[in-house]
Amino acid sequence: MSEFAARDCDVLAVVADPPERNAQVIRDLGLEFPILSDVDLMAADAYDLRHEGAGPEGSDIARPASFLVDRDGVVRWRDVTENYRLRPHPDVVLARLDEIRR
Amino acid sequence: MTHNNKWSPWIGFLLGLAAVVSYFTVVTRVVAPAYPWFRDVPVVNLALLAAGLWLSFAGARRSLARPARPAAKAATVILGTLNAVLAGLFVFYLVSFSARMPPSIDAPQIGAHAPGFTLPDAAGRPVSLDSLRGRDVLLVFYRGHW
Repeated sequence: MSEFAARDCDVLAVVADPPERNAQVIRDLGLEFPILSDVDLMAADAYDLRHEGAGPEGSDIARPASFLVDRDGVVRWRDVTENYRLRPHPDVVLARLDEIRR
Repeated sequence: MTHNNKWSPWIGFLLGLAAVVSYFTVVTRVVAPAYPWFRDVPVVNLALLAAGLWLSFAGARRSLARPARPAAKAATVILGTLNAVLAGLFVFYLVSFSARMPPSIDAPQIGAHAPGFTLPDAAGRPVSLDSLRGRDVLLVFYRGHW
């Protein structure tokens, strides 16, 4: 996380849980980045990440994905995972960040 | 202990069959909606599968070590193989199932504009992605419900 801060890159998590739940997670895990609450999956829909019926009681959730957005609001790297058990290693993102900064 | 009797290969196979059939009839329909993680890692079914495989293996080893009719020996080997194949297919299905995702063809590609949104942070304050224009941002979507 400090690697991102050192590169002056913000990290923003989007989760379909209410703010109170996200606050709890931040406290429990000692997270240093903000979590935004996307309960209506509005952002997930904007990024076409809705995964219908995959949540508890058949609810819709967002499939995991990461996007590196540069200063002009353009996507420079993305990982729309095929397997939710595999998340991109931070080093991959950091390397890409360094690339676009050159 | 039943592991060393002549019915072991049959019981082993039936356990494996029960594990797989119950997964598709009970787990995916009844258990999964309440406990999605169990659909992805059905510990009970996997335990039954393992027990069945062990019985098959133990039974086959016993059968092959003793004098017996060729038909009986063949049966234990066939049952054991069937069980192993069934187990392998089931595990392969489980592993690949967790990878099944919607196509997300409209997710922004590299070079595309990142769609804006405004959502509340953990303190309830609205945060807009566009307000971060001028800064590099790593946007991470999580499944939630953790």
